[in-house]
Amino acid sequence: MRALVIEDEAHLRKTIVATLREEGFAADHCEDGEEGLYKALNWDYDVILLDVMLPKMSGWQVLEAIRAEKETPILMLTARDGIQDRVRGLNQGADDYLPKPFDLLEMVARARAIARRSFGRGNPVLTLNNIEVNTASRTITKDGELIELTAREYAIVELFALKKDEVVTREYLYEHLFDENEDSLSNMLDVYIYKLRQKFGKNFITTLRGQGYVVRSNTSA
Amino acid sequence: MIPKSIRGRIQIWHTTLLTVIVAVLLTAFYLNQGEILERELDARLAAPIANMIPQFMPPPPPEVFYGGTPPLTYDRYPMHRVSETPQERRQRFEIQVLTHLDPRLYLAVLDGEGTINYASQNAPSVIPAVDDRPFRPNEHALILRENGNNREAIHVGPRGYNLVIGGSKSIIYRELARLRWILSIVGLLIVVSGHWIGWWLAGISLRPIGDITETAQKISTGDLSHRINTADTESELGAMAEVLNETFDQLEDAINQQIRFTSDASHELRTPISVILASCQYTLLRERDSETYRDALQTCEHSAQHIRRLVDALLELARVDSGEFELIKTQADIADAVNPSVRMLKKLADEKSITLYVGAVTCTGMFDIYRIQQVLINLLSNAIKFTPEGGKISINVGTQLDNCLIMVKDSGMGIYPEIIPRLFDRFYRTSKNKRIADKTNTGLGLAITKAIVDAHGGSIQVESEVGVGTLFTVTLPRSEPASLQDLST
Repeated sequence: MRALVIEDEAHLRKTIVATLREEGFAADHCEDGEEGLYKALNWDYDVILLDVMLPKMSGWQVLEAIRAEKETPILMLTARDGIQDRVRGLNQGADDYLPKPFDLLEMVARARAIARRSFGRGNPVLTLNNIEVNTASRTITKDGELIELTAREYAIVELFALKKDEVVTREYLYEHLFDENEDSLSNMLDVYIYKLRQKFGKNFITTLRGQGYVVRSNTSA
Repeated sequence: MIPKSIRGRIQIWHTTLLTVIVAVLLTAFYLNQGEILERELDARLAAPIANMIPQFMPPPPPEVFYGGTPPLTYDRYPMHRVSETPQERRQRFEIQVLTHLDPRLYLAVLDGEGTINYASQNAPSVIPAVDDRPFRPNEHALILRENGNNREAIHVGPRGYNLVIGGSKSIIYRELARLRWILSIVGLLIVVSGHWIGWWLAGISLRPIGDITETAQKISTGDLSHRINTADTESELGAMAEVLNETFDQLEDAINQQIRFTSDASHELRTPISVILASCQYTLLRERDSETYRDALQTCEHSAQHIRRLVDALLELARVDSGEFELIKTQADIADAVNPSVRMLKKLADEKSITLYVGAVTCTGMFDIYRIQQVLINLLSNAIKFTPEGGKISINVGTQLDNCLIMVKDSGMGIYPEIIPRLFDRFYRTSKNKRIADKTNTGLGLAITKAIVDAHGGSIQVESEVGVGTLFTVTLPRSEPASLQDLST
């Protein structure tokens, strides 16, 4: 899952990004509305955390401009918590609204929830044959047994679970697993896939040559 | 019981007055009409008399007759036709006279002694004679009198003959009774319709008051968007309504400003609080290295300082708003405030390689010199904030008539003309300057600056050109006006 944080308060932005990364998101950030809009339109984020009071372009304008082109889930963060502000935000197409000061873990939970819903999943526990992905505790069990995974490995499995039976391209994986600062060498992904096959069985991930990968729900791992 | 509503009272007065006027007018008309009717009756009574008089003329002197046939004019002397019996005379008389008389009238002839010589059938039994003594012989006189329920016209002829024509006054009474009815109905109609028209008119003229009350009630419940419709109110009430509308506008402005201020203040406080909260929560999520803890503490300290600045500024403004903002004025020189302020901000200016030009001359007056210093620090730090590296800022103090002038000029980014009117608004920051100002600015500096200058009875002006620079000019009266002196002591 990749998130974009558009927040002008440097300390807050830093903390939010750090928290998101610790919680398994790949996170990009920017400090003004214009840059935020540029990034939001040019990358495919799973969730955008958008402040309202921004330099150059207000959060409302950014929201409107994003909604004109994209359906990316947006969580508005703002110190204005009047009912009118919330209603306005939701009416303009925000997916959720979090008034400042907020609880970091609540912010993460909301960001995760709206991202998950954008995949059409309401249940925080994703099932993939005999595998269960708990997006809340970020743990994966296979036949009821906990599988030890790194954060990145978990993120990959979570993506496959969200997009089960769909072809997932390597580009899609790169875009949703790594943030803009990470050096995403192509063989890194191969390494992860290899390790996941070791942990979940050879047939867990099917390679479609020239297209990408697919995790089929009917194949028993 | 007198009702409390204006409409009710107007109505009572209106109806009472209308009733009295109508009653007086109709009574006068009625009385007048009665008199007219009486006079008409009199005229009706008197009219036949004129026709009859010749018949009661004395007979012609006998020598006029030389025998033979009497002249044709003989008929004019009916009472004295020699050759007829009283019976015949009576018949002839009745034919000649009574046929011309209104059947409702009666006729009687009385002789000199008061005996009724002749009376028509409808005549009353008692008809007193009129004494002819006040009249000269051969004089004709017409007397009008009452006789019981009758009115009589009496021709007092020569030799005491009375020719009486009378008529019952019941005709008049009937007429008057009818008139009374008509007048009562007319009067009632006028009063009733007048009452309703008055009610309606009072309603129309009082409707604006009702509207005003209704609007005021709506506003008193907290919905300040309502206004009185002044389009169709009368001029007097229209003026009042407009004044009220203006008051409502001001009230709404004041309340909105208050709401905005409260909302802005809470917003400004929430931002550093959310920074503190987020840093603490993030740091406490798991074990961190010492550098992370240090970072978090620094962030918290920084935010707490910002909150302190904000709270101080808010308290200061609260004092201004509640009128507790007091100046401690002493005989002071503005130049004495300039030097410490410049010293204080010199380092900040040096960091951005900004040159400060100080051209202070003395200007003494009654000032709160610490507040003036606050003004200078505010203006100067703003100037440094908005002036790019290597820029220039000049501070000048001057005298102009009875005023001291403080001028702070920078070669900064300038202020857009549309922003200038709102520059001194609390928390007013444009998105354009937010980024630069956010670090240490509370958004209240210029509002406080203006409050201090206002408290001194002075004014503050801004001239600015985008990309060239800005000049703030503070004008302070050296000797304060008497009224302000009273306020400050």
